[in-house]
Amino acid sequence: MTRIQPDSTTHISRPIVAIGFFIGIFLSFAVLSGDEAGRVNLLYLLLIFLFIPLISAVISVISLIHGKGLNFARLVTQIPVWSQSQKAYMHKLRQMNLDKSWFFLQSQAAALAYSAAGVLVFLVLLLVTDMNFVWRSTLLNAEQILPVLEVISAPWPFWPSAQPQLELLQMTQDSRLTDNYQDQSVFGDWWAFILATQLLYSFILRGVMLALAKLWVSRKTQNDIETQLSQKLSSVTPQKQQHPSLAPITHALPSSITLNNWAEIDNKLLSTIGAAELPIIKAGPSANENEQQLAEAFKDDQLLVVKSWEPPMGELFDFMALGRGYLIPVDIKQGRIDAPEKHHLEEWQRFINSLNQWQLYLPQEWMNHYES
Amino acid sequence: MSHEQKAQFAVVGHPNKGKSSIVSTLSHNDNIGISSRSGTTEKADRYTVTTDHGCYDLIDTPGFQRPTKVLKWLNQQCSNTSERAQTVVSFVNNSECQRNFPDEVELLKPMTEGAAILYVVDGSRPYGPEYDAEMEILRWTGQPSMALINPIENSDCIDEWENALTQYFKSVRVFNPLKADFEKQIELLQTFAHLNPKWSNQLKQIVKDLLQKREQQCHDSIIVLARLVDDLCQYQQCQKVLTPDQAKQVRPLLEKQYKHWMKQREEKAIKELLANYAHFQTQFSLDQFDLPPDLFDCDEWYAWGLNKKQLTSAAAVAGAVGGAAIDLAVAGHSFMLGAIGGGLLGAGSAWFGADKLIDVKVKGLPLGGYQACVGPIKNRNFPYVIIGRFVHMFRQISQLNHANREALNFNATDFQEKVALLEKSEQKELHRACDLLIKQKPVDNLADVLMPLFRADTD
Repeated sequence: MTRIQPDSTTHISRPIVAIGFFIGIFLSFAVLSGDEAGRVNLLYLLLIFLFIPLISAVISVISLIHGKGLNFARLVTQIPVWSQSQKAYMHKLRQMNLDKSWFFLQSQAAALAYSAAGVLVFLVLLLVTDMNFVWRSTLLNAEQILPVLEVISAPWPFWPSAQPQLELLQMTQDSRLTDNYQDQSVFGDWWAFILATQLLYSFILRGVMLALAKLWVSRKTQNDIETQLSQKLSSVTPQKQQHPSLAPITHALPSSITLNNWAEIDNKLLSTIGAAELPIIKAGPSANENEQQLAEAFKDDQLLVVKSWEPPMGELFDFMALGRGYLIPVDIKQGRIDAPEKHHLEEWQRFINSLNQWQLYLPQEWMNHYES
Repeated sequence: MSHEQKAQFAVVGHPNKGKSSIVSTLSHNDNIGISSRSGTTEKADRYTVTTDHGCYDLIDTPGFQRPTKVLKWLNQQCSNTSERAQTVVSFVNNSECQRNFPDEVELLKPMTEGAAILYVVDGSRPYGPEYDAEMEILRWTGQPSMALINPIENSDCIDEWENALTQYFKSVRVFNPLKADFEKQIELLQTFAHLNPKWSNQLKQIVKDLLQKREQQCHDSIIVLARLVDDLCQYQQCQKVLTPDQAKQVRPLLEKQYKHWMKQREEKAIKELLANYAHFQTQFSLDQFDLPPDLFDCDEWYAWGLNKKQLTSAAAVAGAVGGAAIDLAVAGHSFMLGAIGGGLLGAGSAWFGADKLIDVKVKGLPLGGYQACVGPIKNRNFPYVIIGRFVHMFRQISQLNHANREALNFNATDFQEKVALLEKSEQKELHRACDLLIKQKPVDNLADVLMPLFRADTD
């Protein structure tokens, strides 16, 4: 079952990065090598390091925000080169509506690798070979090109040597028909401008786009309902059932015993459990202070009648801690005393288990109630 | 927001009368411990119900243990009626009382901090004089209060309780935390707004937020279903083998793995559905389903998906849509034969292929060897079966209360009727989507197509 971990969607695919990097190496080397005299056309470089990165960035953003039309991601997933698990992963991405964002992220990584390769090749070639930057045009002259270059270099006014100069432009204009170079050193002066163009429009731009894409994909993954539900499910610890100890039930009473009708059950009803004739003491919610005190001072065996459905409370516990005897929880159904429900009985068994001087009493015949 | 400003309700009463259940249901939190044992709540636990624009507190308190003695203490300390509320504060802060009456101190403390009172009694058992002391103590606090009658086993004693409670509380409501549906919960919350006028606006906003959240939960459930049905209709289990004979040998194993994956996927969706409605402790098992006992039991499918007649007409509709596209492409020169032919073809394949289940395919690989694959399921009814089961589960789970800790029990469904009740255009969209799913084609608006099936449950 394919589960997408929240952090896995922002992982960068190494093969995709490698493809971008090698294309960058190949293209940059092909263009920067120039001709046999080491002449490199400045306008070609602008094409490779400025226009292509800018246009591809715009296309990938349009592809991302456009609803159904330009969807490179889905086209790619249709290519029959993916393994079963990769297909499942992409299927999941599509379900989560993340496929386009994921491909956008990967394409930024690939473009960044492409840019890094370009910068690397450029620096290596600057170090190991003489690069001569020239420009050629049939229609344009230096005065017409300069404003365009000035716009391109506007973001780095702090780097004077990377700014285009009209003089330099005029001096580096080339024609294949003439071969007359008076001052060769000026042809290398464009390197700073080229490097700045590469760094800003290719490397930094893609770096920022990659960082934003990562943030966006991560947020989209976190906000996906499946991710949220999975996180909630994994944070839950199942509750454990508790099994308290239960006191045994006795079915015999001593011959000498006193009735304590804590439940205020009608005396006639008590005859059904053989308690109507017993001597009586009174304690509980409706006993007056005197009756309560007498009952608390009583130290012989007593049969304490309680309502089975009312759970044992602290007041009863306090009273029972002072005396001893038998407790009988009774239910009342259709005006008659009956055996307590099983879950009520268990509650009283648990309660009595903590009182050593007391036993839980039920008439033998009531036990049939639980067998059925 | 301080406790004074924030709406807060202390749920109090005798032990084991459903206080924790009420808190659990109203806060939509099934992590709150509920037990048939009395005295399981020993400390007052504050649960904050947070919505997009507000929050309120529900305080689960221990039950009264020694109300008679506490009332006696209060009476001894107070000679003037106007000082009663202050006497309760003294009781809560008194170290001796904290030692002798820990439960009452815990349950009364929130009220001294401004919480309103929700007093809970059991409406299935008769009123008794032992309740008088605790109701009197609550009256001493002077806080706004409401009584909730919880008919735990039956409703036999509700009238008797109403008569007793109206003497102490201005508002008395019957509320069963195990059965009260979402609308009843909202209704109760709306009545809370009347307890303290200062909280009225925030509670109204909370109600509004909760209603919106409910809609969002329904929408999220539909997404869970859309992904489930998409996954199940797409899934294929494959294995590379050397010869066609080996492919035959691995078939049972592949089928077993395939079915296991499908069941696990459906189980995952149910867990997500439960989590979507904040049910994390609910136990369930797919084996408990009454119908069908097995996702792969073809005979049982008609109970969950469409019946043979509905399925045939669904296939005809889907086929006709495809055929109509051809008619459109040739600008009607086919005299609508595309639509008619597509319809007939679809209907025929649905009727005769209705019992077809899992395909096992063996195909040669370009680099040698073979690949045996099980699935995807080609039966036209399959997506309907998945949808039908899920819609049924949705209905159970969305109405399940958080106090209800019993394992889920799913019963038979009326999915066929539900499909029949859809608008014609909605039916058509559903059939078209299912047709695409069974052909393993993506359906972009699947969640929108499924929406009408959930409508009846949320309206």
